[in-house]
Amino acid sequence: MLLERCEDLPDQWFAQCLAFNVVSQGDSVAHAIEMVLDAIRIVFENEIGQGHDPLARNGLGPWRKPAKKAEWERLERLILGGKLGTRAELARVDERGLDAVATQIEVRLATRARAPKFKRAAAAVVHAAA
Amino acid sequence: MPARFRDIKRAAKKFGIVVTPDRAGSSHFNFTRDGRTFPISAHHGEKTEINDKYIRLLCDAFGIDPTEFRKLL
Repeated sequence: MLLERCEDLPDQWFAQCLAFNVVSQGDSVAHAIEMVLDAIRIVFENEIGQGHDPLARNGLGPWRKPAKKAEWERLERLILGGKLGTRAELARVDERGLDAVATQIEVRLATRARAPKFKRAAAAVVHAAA
Repeated sequence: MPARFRDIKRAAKKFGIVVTPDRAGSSHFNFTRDGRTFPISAHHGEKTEINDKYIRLLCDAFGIDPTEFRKLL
């Protein structure tokens, strides 16, 4: 996941999960992560509800376009050229005046009792942790 | 250039996009057309300012010309 301070809104952070190409925005790094996890839940539940596999096409589901190559290159530059931090440090990014952060998220799917037509993996995102 | 959520919602409707609040009660609103949903954060309500990149990705998701969309904001 790529997190960047918005150039046009410096008090806001833009979060982009490149693998699923789902985005959101928040007041801080932690808030932006929370928001993009919620956006992933919404997108996945919508796709599952229509009988589609949200993880098809390498995680892009039935409709989502892949993230732009430039975004992946930006993420790569951050990973290779940035400083490795802990999860606790992630919460203090705003105080340290950083403008971009790369992090990894884990999304777990689980089946609900009243699962829709889609049967292969899941009916809803029940847990997602940064 | 950023835009307020309420203006984005109004412009999106003119492109046939249906805007509904998230059923789970989060601060996202679902922008939906032809089955596809693109959530947009309204964490400060209708006045939430949405950054330019977010708006461009919304347009990209629904195949809308960002310049045409901007004219309606």
